[in-house]
Amino acid sequence: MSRVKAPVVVTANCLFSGQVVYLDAGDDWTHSLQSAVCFDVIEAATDAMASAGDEAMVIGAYLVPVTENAGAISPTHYREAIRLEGPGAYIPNLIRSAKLVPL
Amino acid sequence: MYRYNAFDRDFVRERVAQYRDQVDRRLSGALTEDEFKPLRLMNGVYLQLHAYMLRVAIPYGTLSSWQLRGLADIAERWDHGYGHFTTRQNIQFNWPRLVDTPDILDALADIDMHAIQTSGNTIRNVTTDQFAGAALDEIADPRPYAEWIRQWSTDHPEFQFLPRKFKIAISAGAEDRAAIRAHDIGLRMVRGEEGPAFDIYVGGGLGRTPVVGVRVFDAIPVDALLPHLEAIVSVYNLSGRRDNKYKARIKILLQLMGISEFKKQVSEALQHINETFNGSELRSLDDVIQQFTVPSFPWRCVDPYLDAIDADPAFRQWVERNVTPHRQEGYGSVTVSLKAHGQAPGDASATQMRRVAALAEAFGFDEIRVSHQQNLVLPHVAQADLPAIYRELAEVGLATPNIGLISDLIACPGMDYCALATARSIPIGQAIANRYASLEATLGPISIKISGCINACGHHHIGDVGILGLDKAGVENYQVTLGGRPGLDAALGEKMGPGFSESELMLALDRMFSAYLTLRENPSELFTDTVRRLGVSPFRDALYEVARAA
Repeated sequence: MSRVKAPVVVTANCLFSGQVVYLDAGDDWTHSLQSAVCFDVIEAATDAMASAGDEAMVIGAYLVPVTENAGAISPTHYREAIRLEGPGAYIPNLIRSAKLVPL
Repeated sequence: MYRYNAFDRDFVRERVAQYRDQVDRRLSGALTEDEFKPLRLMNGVYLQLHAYMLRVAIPYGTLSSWQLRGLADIAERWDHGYGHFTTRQNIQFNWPRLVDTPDILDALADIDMHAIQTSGNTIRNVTTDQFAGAALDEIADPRPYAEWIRQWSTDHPEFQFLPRKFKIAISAGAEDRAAIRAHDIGLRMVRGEEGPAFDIYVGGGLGRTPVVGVRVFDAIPVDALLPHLEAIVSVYNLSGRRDNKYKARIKILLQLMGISEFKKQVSEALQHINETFNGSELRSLDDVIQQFTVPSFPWRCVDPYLDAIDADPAFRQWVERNVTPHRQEGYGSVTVSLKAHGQAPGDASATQMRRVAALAEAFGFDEIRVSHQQNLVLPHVAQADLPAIYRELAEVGLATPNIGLISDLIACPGMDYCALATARSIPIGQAIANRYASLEATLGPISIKISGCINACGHHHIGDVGILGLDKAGVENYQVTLGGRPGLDAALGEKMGPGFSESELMLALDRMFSAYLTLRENPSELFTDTVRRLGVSPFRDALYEVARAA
């Protein structure tokens, strides 16, 4: 955790569906990275993760380094980009997005 | 093939009921994730990058049409309409919701299947030759023995918490098609003095410390097989390391203990273990053997088949690549390629599964196999039916004539799905398959095996060309190994040098395959044979030619 550099967002997997979720400004979980709250201070992100990482909703919350460019949030590491986008060429994104489970 | 009896059905239903209650308690908050995780894993439910994943056991890779249709129904009802066949002859569903998993397990029980011991530090699915019962070169069908071992190992009270997972493979052919020396225990059926017997290889495994298994016991007769397996696993259970998961497999124990001490301890364990086997296990083997009856193969006129061979070059090409000779004249074993160029290796849609099930029912004595190369097999088909089978497979994209060629590559799920992966495997496989689509027939049989992390689920250590995906300072990086092979003369590939980016990898492979075309003595010298004859040096030079010139 100490190696994570801000800015960061909080991510986890939804307990119910296993799908990727992010913490938004209202302390709710969202599938949209662009709706996630971006923290410039690691301690604030850690506190938010501790209070929102409710095991009744999500599994394995952790912090993800991101960049912000003109309001758009992007993960800095390819692993998180893959988590965000879903598997590659074979499975069309529309299948994944069509089956997202409402939170 | 084996059908569940009342005991099996009750056992599986009871486990599903237990699991349903565990899921309910997790969702209600009565169980924490730490408490629940080992329980879901014992039922094959993992959490991957994007969703849960359910790994379903396909014992020794054998399915009936009824079961494959059931898997297709599960894919469609609870997943995204497809499944992924794995290098351990299992199937994985990549998108189930946790709340649905008890219903899926019930649906599996409806078709005599389950997901027990597909995770955890237990004895996993026993794998075998995909051509078992059909192969020309086998001593006997190894599947009854695999089933016997499955029954012995399932819910074995002493072996639910081993130091690490434990994999057994069994092969009965002159050629080993089950990669037995890459398993914790590899069994090779041989002719003993009084019937079938087993050479027992121990300590094989890939992963971060790849080791080729060594033959520890010779020609163990059938009545001594289970006691030997129990003694081997008992010694491992007692002495295997539990303080470091990376040093916990039996291969490490065997290296530390030495073969002679290991054999001595197994022999000592056998003295009391033998007393616990009273002969009833042999009666259960007899019962199992009765269920693996050989189909009666009626004579069929092959004229239409021969006419189609002459008339249709595409059909002829498919037969040459995808049909394996059968022990019965006039029959063959069809390998249904799940490696259409550009597709994810091992994936099959529900539609494709249903088509294969229908073909097995109509033409294949209702039998389907899953190969560890991630293809499906119709083991017994009359040559007379091959033209119809080819047409029907082609309609659903399953008639790619590429078995053994570059595009018939193995790839683990990699970072497209797997939470452990350090790089993607599937896109690399897709890129390679597409890149060499027009050249692969010229290049001939070459096995490419791709793993997305050091755990080596893609078997990269035993490929002609192994590719290992790693994270190098936040960028995917691919190491190449050469000269690996499965089989009785198994060898681990030699690491060639620094890794490549994806684009560099393709150019490096271009140079290496171009070098092979120059270096081979003649067009019939296989890549593996050229590497063996010349060593890896000229191929390493080709891989790094540009880097060296720079």
